[in-house]
Amino acid sequence: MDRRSVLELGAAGALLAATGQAQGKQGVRHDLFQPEEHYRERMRAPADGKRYGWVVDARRCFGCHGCEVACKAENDVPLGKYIRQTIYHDYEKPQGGMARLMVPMACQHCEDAPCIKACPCGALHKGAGGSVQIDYDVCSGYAACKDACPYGAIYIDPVANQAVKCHNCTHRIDVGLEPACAATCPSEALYFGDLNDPESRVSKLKAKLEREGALAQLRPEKETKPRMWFASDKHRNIAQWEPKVPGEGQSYGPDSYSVYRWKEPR
Amino acid sequence: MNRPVSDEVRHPADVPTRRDLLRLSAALAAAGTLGSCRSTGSGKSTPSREKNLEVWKRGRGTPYATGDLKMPGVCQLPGPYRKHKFPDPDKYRGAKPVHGMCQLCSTVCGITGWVKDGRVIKVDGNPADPNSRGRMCARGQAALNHLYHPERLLYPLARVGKRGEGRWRRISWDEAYDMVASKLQAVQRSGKLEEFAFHQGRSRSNDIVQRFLRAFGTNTHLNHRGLCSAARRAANLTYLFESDWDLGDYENAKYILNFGSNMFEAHQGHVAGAQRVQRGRFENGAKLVTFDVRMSNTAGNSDEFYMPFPGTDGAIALAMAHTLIQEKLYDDQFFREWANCGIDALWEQIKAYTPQWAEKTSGVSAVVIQRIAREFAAAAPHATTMCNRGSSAHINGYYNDRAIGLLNVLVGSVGKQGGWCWMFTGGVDGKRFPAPKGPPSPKTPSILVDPPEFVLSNVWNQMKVGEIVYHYLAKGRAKMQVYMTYNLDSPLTWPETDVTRAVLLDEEKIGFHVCINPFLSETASFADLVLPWTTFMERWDVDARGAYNLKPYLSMRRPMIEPLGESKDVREILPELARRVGGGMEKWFPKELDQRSYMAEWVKNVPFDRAKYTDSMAFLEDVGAYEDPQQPRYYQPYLRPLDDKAMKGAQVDEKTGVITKAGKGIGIMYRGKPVVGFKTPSRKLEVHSEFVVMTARNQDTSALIARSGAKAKRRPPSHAGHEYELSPWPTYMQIEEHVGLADDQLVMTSFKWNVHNHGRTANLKWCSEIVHSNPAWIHPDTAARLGLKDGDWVELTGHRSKTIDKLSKSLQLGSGPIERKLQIPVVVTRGVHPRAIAISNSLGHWAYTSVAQALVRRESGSARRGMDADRMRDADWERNMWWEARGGAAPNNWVRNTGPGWAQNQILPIAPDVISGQQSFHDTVVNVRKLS
Ligand code: SF4
Ligand code: SF4
Repeated sequence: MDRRSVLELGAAGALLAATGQAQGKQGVRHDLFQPEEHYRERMRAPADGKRYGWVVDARRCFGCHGCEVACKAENDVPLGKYIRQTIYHDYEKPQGGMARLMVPMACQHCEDAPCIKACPCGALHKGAGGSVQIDYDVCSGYAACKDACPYGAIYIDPVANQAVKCHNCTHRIDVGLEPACAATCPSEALYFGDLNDPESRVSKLKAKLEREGALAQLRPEKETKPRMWFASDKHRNIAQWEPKVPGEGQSYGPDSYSVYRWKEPR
Repeated sequence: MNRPVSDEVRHPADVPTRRDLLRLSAALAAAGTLGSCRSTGSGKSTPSREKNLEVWKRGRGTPYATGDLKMPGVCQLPGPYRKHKFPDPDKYRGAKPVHGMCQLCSTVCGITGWVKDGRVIKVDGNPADPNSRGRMCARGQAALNHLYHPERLLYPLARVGKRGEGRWRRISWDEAYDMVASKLQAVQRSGKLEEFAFHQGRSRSNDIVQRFLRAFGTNTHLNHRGLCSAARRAANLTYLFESDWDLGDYENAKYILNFGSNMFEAHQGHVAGAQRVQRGRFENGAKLVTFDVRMSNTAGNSDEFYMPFPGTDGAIALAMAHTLIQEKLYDDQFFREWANCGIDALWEQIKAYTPQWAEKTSGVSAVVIQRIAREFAAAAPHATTMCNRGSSAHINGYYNDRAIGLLNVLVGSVGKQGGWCWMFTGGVDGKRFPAPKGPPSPKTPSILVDPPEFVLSNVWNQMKVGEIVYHYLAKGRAKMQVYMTYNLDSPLTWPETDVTRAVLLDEEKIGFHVCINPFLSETASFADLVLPWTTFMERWDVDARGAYNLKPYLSMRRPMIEPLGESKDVREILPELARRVGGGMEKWFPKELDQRSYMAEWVKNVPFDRAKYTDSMAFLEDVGAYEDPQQPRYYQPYLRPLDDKAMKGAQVDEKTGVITKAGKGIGIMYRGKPVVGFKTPSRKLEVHSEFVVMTARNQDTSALIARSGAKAKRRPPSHAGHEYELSPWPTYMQIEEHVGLADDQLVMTSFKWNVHNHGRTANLKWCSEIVHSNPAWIHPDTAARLGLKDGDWVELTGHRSKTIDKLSKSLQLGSGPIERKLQIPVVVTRGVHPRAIAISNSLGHWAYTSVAQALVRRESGSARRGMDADRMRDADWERNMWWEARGGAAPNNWVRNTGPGWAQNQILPIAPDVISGQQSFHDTVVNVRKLS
C-alpha cells in the first residue's frame, strides 16, 4: 500500500486491497503486468524521431476548465467520463491566508507505461512520438490498464466497452494543430511538443524550469517515467494536491468538481 | 479525500464481470499476445485479434439510440459498438475553417469553426484575433452544445391559452411577421411610439437594432448595463470623460492591485485580460494582489489575497492613498501636472482615512494596507489597479471605484506602459469603420431609458437603468404596448423574480410580448410569440471588445453553416418586419441590401493585401480579424501634441492653460507646449469633479461640457426634483444596513462561475456537468455560530436596502424583507468572509431546456412543436447524464452535486445606486435560519 489509507483509495482500490492482490512497492501493480515478452514490442516507440511530452505550469492554471471541455468536444467524451480533468485544492498558506491550487490532469504518457505492461490483449502501445495509444481493433475492455495506471487516467467507455485515454491529439498534430486542450488554455499553462526539438516551446520551457529547479513529476515512486512535468514552487508543490489525483483502478469522476471537494482532505 | 466514482459503480450492466474477464485473460496471456507497433487508428489486424473479438463481444455494451442527424459532441459509436478510428486521423482533412466570434459571454473571443459536410465539427480559438489570441474558455469550447442542442428552438411558436401557461402552437414565419407587424402598426396608430420597447440582454448587433427602432420612432431601447457595470463606468468617466472602461496594461505591469475582480473566471475581458495578467506575472515578474470577499480562482491564484468585509474596497484604497501621500510616495510631478487639484486639497479629504481606520472598516490589517501601498508605488509606473463588479456592484460602488482609480493617479501610472490605460473606443472604431448610416434618433422621450432618479446613468453614455424596468411598470410609471425581448434572461438574472414575473404576466402592463431567442428561456416562457434566433455560429456581425493591446481591432462573425431549422437572425427578422410595418420605416431596409452586402459596406475601409485579396470582405472572411499594425498603442494619449493647424484660432486660458477653440476644449498647455490633455472640463484627471456635483444638483453643466469637448449631456428637465449632494472627491460611503448586523445576519454576495455566464450557459451540457449545483458558501465561524455543517440547509430572507430607500423615496422600493424565501444547502469553507454568504448566479433555471433544469427527461409539452425533437437527439444526455436530483431537490432528499441549483435573485432586492444606476448585487443583508 502506498501512504494513502485504504479508505482514501476509494471503492476500487479498497476492493483490490481487500482481495489481497499483491501490490508492489509503492502500490505499483506488478501483479497485473504481463510477461515482458508480451509487451516489449509495444513499449517501443516508432522511429519517427519525435519525443512528445508535456509541461504543465500549475502555477499559471486558473482552473477555467477550458482544456477539459475542449477535450470533451474534440473526443466526444460521454458525460461522467473524463480524459482530462482540472483538480481544485483549497489550502491555507503557511504564512496565513487562503489559496487555491488548480491542476489540469490527464494521462502522463509514461515512458515505462504500466498500462502497456498490463494490457493482456496487445491494445496499448506506443504511437507517434512515444504517445501511449490504444488500438481499438484489439482493445476488449479488459481494464487491466485502468487498474494499473497510477494516475487514474483511463476510463472504460460504457458502450464500446473499451479503454479510453488521452492520445495526444495525434490527429490534430498531423494537420498542424495543437492538442485541443493546449491550444485553448487562456492561462498558458499547458505546453505540448517534441522534446527532441530543442527549439520547441515545451523543450525551452522545460529547460528553463529545470535550471530554476522548478520541475517536478507526479508520483515518481511509481517509476513510470512520465512524459509530463509540472512546474511547481514552494507555495504550489505537487505534494499538496497529489492526494486528490486518482490512482490505480480509478478514473476521474464527476465528484471532483463538487464544491464540497475543493477543501483540504480532512 | 477526493474520491472519484469508479467505473464499476457507474454502469454495472455494461461491464462484463471481472471474473469472466480474468478467466479469459489468463487464457490469452498463456497463449501469448504479441502486438506490434502501431500508430493511431491504423486498424491493422494483429495475431491476437480473433481471440480478443470473443472477449470483446462478451463485454460489449448497449448502443446509443441516435436520431438521424449525426451530432458532433455526442458519443457516436459505430456498430457493433466498438470505437473506430479514435482519434480519427481524417477528422480535420477536408474540414474548412470559418472564423467568427464567440458570444457565450461578452468577451467575444475570436473563434474558428471547422466545417465538414455542412456541420461544425469543432470550434477552436482563432489565433488571428488580437484580443483573445486564439484562446477560449470552457463556455466557448461548449459552443457545439449550443449550436446542436437537441432542444433548440427552430420554429416560431405562438402561445395558446394564458400567458405563461406554457402551451404553444407552431406557426409560420409569415404569420409571425404579420402578428408582430399588426401590433406595431397599432402602436403607430396610438401615437405613443415609446410604448414599443425593445429590450436586449447582451447588447450586440446594436447597429441593426438601432436602425430598426429609429426607423420606427421609439427610443425605448432597454439594456442590462445597470445590472452590469454602470458604477465602474461612471467612476472612470468622472476621471477621464473619454472612456468608461479601464484596460490595465497587465502584460507589461509589475504590480496588479485587484479589488474584487474575477478576471480569471468571468469579467467582460475574461480570456483576453486573464492571459495578459498571467503573462505579466510569469513572464514579466508582476505581482498580483487581490482583495475579495470570496476566494474566486483569481483570488486563490494571486500572490497575495485578503478578504475584506463586503463593500469596503473603497476604504482600503483610500487608506492606501493616505499612505502614499503621508509617506510622500506619490508621483509629485505627475500629480502636479495632471491631477486637477493640489495634493494638499486632496490630503484634506484623505487624512481621516488612515490605515487604522480602514482596518476597522474592512478588517484588513493596517500594516498590510501600508505595505501594499508602498509596493504599488515602488512598481509604478508599471502598476495598475484592476476592478469590476466586486468593488462596483455596491450601493457605494461609484465611490469605491473613484477611490481605486485615485491610486493610479497618485502613483502616476495613468496611461503608462504597464499602467492603468484605456482606449478611445470600447469596441469597433466607429470613426474609421462606421456601420452603414441609419435614420436619425427620434425625439420621443422614454422614462424607462432615462429614469429621473439617477444622476450619471445617461450624462455621458446611455447606460440606462435596466433593473428598474419592471418596477416602473409595476408602479404604473410606464407601459408597454409591445415588448420585444432579444437575448434577454430577465426572469433569472434580474433582481426580485416575483416582480419580474408578475409584470411579465400582466397583459395590462405589457400588451404583447415577442421574444427572440435560440431557446425557450424563462423570458420566452412569458411571451406571446417566440421567434427562433440563430446562434453566433450562424449569423453575421462585426464586433470588438475593449482592446487589451491598446490598439483598436475588429473581428467579423459570419455564418459557419446555414441556420438550422427556420431560425433567423435579427438582421433578417427586423428588415422584413420593417417592410411589413411600413409607414416609411421600410425605406431603411431595402430588399437589395442583403446581409453580406451590408457587412461588406461596413468593413470596406479595412486595409488588405491587394496581392492576396479582392476586397476587405474577402480578407476578413479569410482571416477573421483585423488590427492595424501601424497604429501605436494608446499610451499617454494626453501627451499627444496639438499641431499648428489645430492651434489656429485657439485660445489659451492663462490661469488653467486650457486651450479652447470656438468655445470648445481641445487641449491644455503642458511644459509650454500645447497637448491634447484629458478630455475633461479641466483637461486633467478629475480627482475633484465639479461636474458630478452640479449634475447631481441638476445644475447647468454646459460650460464644463464645452471645455471637455466630449459628448456629455446635462440631465434633462424631467429629472427636476431629484437632486442629491454628491462628493466631488473620491470618498467613502458607509452602507448603513451593514452596520451592526445581528448574529443571524450575513451580507449576501454574488458571483459567476468560470463555466457559466449569467443566464445563457446552463443549457450547455459540458458546462453544466462541471457546475450545476450552487450551495451557499459560509465561513466556519458562521457555521459554528449557527450550528451548521456541510450540506445542511438554511432558509434565507433578503432585505431591501435602507440606504437606497432613504436616498430616493420616489423610487418606492421600500426597506422591508422580501416576501419570498430561499432554501439552499451550505458548503462550509474558509474561502468566504465570516460575515458574508456567497451564492452564485447563473443557476436555478426552471426553463431553458431540460439540460439547464438538470432533467434527463426531455421537453414533452407543446413546446416541442418549436423544436426538432425527434431528429436532434442527444443520446449521450439521455443515457449518461448523472446529476439529475433523483430524490428531488428538497432538503431531506437532496444528494450533493445534483440538481439544477438555486436562483439567488429570488431574494435579491431591486437595489439601484442612485448615482449611476448600478444594481448593488453584493450588499443584501440576509437572515439565515437553519432548517432542521
Ligand atoms: S485551460 Fe488552462 S487555465 Fe483552464 S483549467 Fe485547463 S490548464 Fe487550467
Ligand atoms: S470568454 Fe469564453 S464565453 Fe466569453 S467569448 Fe471568450 S470563449 Fe466565449
